[in-house]
Amino acid sequence: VQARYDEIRRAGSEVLVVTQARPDLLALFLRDHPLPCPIVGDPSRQAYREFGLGETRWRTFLRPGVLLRYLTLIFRGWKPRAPSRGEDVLQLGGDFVLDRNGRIVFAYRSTEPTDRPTVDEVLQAVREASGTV
Amino acid sequence: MPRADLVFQQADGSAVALAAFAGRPLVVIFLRHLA
Repeated sequence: VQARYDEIRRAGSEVLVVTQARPDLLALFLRDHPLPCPIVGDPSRQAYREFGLGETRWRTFLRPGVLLRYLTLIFRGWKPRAPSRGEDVLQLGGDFVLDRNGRIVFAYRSTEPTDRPTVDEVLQAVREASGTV
Repeated sequence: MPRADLVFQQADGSAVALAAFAGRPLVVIFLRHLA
C-alpha cells in the first residue's frame, strides 16, 4: 500500500494505519520508518474487536503456505522482528474501506498472518466509495 | 458500521477519533504488529 499511496489518494481516499503499539513505540517506529499516511495506536485493541478482527493460533505459523509466504518475504529483504512489548503476536490484521459517512463498504479480515487483500482490490473499493468508477 | 467515537493514540501521545477522518473515503489498515 505504501508504494501505491499516491494512487489511493488520487482515487479520493485517505489511509489510516492502525497498530497495537503504544505512542512511545509508535514514535520510535516513525523515527526509523517515516510513513506518508497517519499511523495510530490501539493498545487496548478495542478497534480491532470493533472491526471484528480475531486471533490466529500458533500452529497456523507452521502451515506450509504461511511458511512459504514468510520465506518469500525474507528473500525479498524483509527482516522479521519480534513484536514490541504489549503487542499480541496472535492478533490478526485486516483492511477496510469506509465511505465518507463512515460505513464499511469493503472488509477483508485476515484468516492467517500473511493473508491480505491485493492493493487492486482495495483501490477498486475506494473508487466505488468515492464515485470515481 | 464502526463507532465514530473510537479513539486512537498518536505517536505524540495525543488522541484522535475515527470521526476525525470522516468526510472522504478512508482505507483503514490494521497491522498485526509494528515489526
